[in-house]
Amino acid sequence: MRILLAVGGPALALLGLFAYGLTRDPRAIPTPLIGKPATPFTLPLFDGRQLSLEELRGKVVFLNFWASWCPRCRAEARTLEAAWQKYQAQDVVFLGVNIQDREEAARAFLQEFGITYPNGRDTAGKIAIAYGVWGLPETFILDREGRITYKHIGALGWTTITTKLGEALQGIVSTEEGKGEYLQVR
Amino acid sequence: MSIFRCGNGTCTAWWLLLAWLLGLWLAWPPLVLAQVDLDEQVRQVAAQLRCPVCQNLSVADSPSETAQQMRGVIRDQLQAGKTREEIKAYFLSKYGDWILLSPRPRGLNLLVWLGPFAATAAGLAAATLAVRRWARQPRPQERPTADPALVERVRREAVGEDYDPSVADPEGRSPLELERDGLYAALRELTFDYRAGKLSPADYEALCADYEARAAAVLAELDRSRLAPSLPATSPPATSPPATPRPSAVPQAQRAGSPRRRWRLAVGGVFLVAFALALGYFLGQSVRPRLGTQDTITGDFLTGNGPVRSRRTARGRRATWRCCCARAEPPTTDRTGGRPSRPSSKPWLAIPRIPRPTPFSA
Repeated sequence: MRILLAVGGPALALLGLFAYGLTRDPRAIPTPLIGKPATPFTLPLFDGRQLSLEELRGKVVFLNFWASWCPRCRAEARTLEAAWQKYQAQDVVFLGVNIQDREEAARAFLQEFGITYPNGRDTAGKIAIAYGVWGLPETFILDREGRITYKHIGALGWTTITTKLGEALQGIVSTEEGKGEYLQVR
Repeated sequence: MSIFRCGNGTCTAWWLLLAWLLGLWLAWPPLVLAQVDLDEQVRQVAAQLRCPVCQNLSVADSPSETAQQMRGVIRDQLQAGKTREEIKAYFLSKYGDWILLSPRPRGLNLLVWLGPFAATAAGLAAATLAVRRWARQPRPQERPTADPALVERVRREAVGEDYDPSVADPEGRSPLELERDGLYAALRELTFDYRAGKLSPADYEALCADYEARAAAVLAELDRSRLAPSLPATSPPATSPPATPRPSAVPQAQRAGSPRRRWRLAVGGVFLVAFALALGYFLGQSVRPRLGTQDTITGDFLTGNGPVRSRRTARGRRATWRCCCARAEPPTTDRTGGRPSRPSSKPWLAIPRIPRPTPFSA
């Protein structure tokens, strides 16, 4: 009986730990960036211009990482464009960062969904790494001071976009990151 | 230290010491490898980071695009003059604790750091307990304890002269009674042998206790069967002469802390510790850092595909390769007879070959 307790107790505890591990997503990397100042970068845009994050200080930035081969990015593309149309008059800038992609495929994607907000390519992946990107699509919302107020992994819906942009316009920092269906980077 | 005094012509001792130190310095790898090239530095930093794409590979080992880009970032930062710790801190600030392959000892991570030690301690404690249990001698007291009154009766009856089974008629007895009588006879014989000096006190004590317990069990069974009147049984005589006291029992302490037991304990403990150490050492040895992209992380001297340490092994491996795989070198022929000469399999024995006189010169 004592042996049963001595062996069974730790074994059960270990089993419990494993069971707890099964409830967690091993791929998810919790971001430490929410509430921190966003890393500045300069992005070469598809239209040939250069856009620096510093220029957007004083505006709320909706920073979206995407790739043309990612189905969830396709799923949210039309919603993002619609949100851009609604918010561009309200001191909000949408900015798309294309990562791990071919240029033609990315251009075709922009054309297919009629995207009008500025987009650029991060060929070396430096911006993605500076934002700790590990999945697609990933979205960061920056307030007027250039602070990251929200991060979402996975496709965004209209409600989340409007809520989180409204919070960022008021300078409210989210406590948690959002999570939807995503695809890992490659 | 008179040999180090230079005046006495023992300056060579100093020179030898100096040469030895110089040799040590030259052979000291970290000093020689102080200027590792950039690739190696990148690899060393990347090996500490966990690849975000593949769960269980380091950034150094992963072939994924993300890992490649991360190695590029590490290279850029190294070239910009950042230290390895600064680069690690950079990735830590972007990805959090997740990115470190070796987690920082805090919070739930402590489980990973302390768990092995706790498990080792628990295992050692369990092993000690188990060895102690094995080493314990089977004691006579561990038999099912017989009723002391019955044992007393056995002692009384076994030595009673009026209770001689050879006189009584064996026909009318039940099997139980026959068994009892046999045990009594054995007990009497034991006492006789002991008094004759054929038995050691320890053996006598153990055997007596054994037979007594068995006889007591038989007696108890007999008493129970006597309650059922159908079974005819000759009752043992109630009055018998008082039992003669058995020769003195062996002291308990002699059995408990016997040197044999201690030996068993020590040998068991040493074996367990040696086993655990060997396991730990060889398991640790059988995994090594990847040397190249095509290299595996397993294998060492045990599996025969590890780095070659001794010259003899290298020579042996070359020989095997030549013999089995390549056959690059044709066997050399002796000058004298045209017989192929094989290289000695034990070159360190190096028996000098005596040249034979040649019958005809080439």
